[in-house]
Amino acid sequence: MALPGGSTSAQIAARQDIWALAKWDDTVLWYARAVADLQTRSISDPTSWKYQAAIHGHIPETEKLQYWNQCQHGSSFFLPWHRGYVAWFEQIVRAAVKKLGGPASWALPYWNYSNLSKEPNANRLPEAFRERETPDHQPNPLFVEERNPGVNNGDVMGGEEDEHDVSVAALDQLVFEGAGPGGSTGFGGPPTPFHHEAGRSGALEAVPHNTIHNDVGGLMAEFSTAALDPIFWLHHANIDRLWEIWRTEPGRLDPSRTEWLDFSFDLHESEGNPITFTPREMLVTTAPPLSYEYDNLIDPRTKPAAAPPVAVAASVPNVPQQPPKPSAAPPEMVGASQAPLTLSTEPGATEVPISEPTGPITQALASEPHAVHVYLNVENVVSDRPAMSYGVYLNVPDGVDAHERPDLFAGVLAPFGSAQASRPEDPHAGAGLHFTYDVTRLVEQQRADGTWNPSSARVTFLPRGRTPDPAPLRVGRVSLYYHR
Amino acid sequence: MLALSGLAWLETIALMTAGGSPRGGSARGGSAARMAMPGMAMPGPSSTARGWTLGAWALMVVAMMLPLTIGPLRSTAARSLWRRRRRAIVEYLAAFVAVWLLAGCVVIAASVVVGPSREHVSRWALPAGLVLAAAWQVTPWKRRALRACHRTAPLAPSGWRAVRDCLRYGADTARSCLRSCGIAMAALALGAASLTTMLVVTSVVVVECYSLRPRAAASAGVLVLLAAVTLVL
Repeated sequence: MALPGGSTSAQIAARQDIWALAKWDDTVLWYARAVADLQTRSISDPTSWKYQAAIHGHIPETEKLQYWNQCQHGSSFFLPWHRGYVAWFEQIVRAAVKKLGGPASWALPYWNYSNLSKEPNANRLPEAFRERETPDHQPNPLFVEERNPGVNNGDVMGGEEDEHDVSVAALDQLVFEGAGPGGSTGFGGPPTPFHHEAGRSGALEAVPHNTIHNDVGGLMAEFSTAALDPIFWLHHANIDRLWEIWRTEPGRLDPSRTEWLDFSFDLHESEGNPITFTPREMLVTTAPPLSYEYDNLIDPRTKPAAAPPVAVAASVPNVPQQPPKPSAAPPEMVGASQAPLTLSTEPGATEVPISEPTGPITQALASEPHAVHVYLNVENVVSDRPAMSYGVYLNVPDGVDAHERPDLFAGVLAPFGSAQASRPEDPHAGAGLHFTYDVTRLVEQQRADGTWNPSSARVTFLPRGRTPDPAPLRVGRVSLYYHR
Repeated sequence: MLALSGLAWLETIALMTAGGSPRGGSARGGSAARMAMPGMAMPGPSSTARGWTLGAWALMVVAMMLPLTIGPLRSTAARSLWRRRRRAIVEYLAAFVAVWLLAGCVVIAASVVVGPSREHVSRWALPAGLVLAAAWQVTPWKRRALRACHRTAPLAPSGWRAVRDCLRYGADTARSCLRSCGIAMAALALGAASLTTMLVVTSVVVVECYSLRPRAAASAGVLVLLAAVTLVL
């Protein structure tokens, strides 16, 4: 079905890395002007700044229920829905740019914060977003006062030098949709939110999507206000680009279920007319209605010397190879904490008693132990307002500062959306968020050096980031699962 | 779970097609299509009929509500140690059914209070109750209850805490389920519903429970419930 909006094949918009552009490159300046223009429009106008932001998250108003508050998080619709959301926003902005006298070829830049091997400042907020005024001495619509301390001064994301918050390790995930509760959430997330796995984010959504939201903070820290910060769109353009990079890898396949491919969402195109789109229509970015491409689809971890001579600049169809064969047996829980845990601005820890597995996983442990993964789950994480991020560590000895044991680091817990997910009226019905970490390598390492205790694990949470006045974070349970 | 529900449906059908209720009174209208749910608001007070009523309510809960627990049961099993997953399921179901039985006691009490007017009330209870249930479908409280039916809960792995958490989870889901479907269920019970009406209401609650678009499904449920009203009038 041909959708309105987009360009012909001869007018494919080229999205560029904002850190590869001059601070006030024309692309950035026109973005600022267009944002200012959108901000003058009434909230009832579907092409207005506030209306577009409300699509992501808003206190529902009955007349807007169809289009507002429909942001897809914690499910395998996360990537295709945001692709459409960002693409039609880009077209709305492009139309505004044209109206203001700018180029018809304007494209949304992306923020490649992980590109540290080539751009040492990549994990700092792009400069144009930190300036209070534009070059023509007007208030800069790209500047937002309400960000975390240090962000507008150009501090690195999260205030940490360890680069965990901009990690693209998610690209190593082999499958798009994850396993059942307790196991991997996959690259793109588990199937649908409206069942009993709500709140589990795919690997890409967890890091760097959630970590950047939490690190920028302010408006970006909550679903309902995130899209009001102009950096939101460049952040999501990069998340979208990372999906494209993942799809170019051999064997990486998007879901083929018709329930995923043909599920429809409602938005408005650049003229304000309602449209409906499906994930199936979001798979080729260079074709209408999307009609954009990225200036490069290089894995940010690629060192400059190893970069291929010609970057892939077009949307590459999935190579039809067989994905890894899924295990028939579900993930099996082997241990969990007995009581909830409340995290604050101080380090916290909990013990996880471990039992011997007794289910179908025992067969895999006997026949192919190397294929069995160990997953650490942090479940039903709730808060009443934005909370800070935490580093999660496995088996830091009692009395030892986790900062001194980076070798025991399991992952970042960035509770973006925890406040909304904790509300009864939210789709999560107040059950909160759920985080999963593949700790197989850590467990193998500890087994090898004799520090692994088969009857108990200690999980430590180390505060990170600069969220001002962070809410306490209540963790319902910490658990360990085995899955082949 | 589906097998248990299926058995309950078979028992219900068997009772309904055995020439009306086995416990006094006959179905309103006397036609197969209008045979009443046995023990529900039957004309003519009878202590025996009242004693059957809780059993009939339980049968209705098992037939209609248990299929809605498949999701939380899977979650309960997945979030339990493998060796105690069956116990966890039993604990969950025990609490779930217990809450619904308590609700059934309230419905029965209402039926007793109505007393001599029972026949008159039961004539209007079903259509009025279904209209009320249809109106409830579009309220934000219904939406919140439907979402709460899908809520997950942290479960302690072992010991009395594990039992407590599974019981609490089952009770919590049942309370949400009651808020979501209770009006329709009470209408069926007080109004001597036919098998057809029961099946219609079951289809509404099952579809909206498992739909990927719960809001749209709940809205569609309005139409179906209103159509059911025309069936019973």
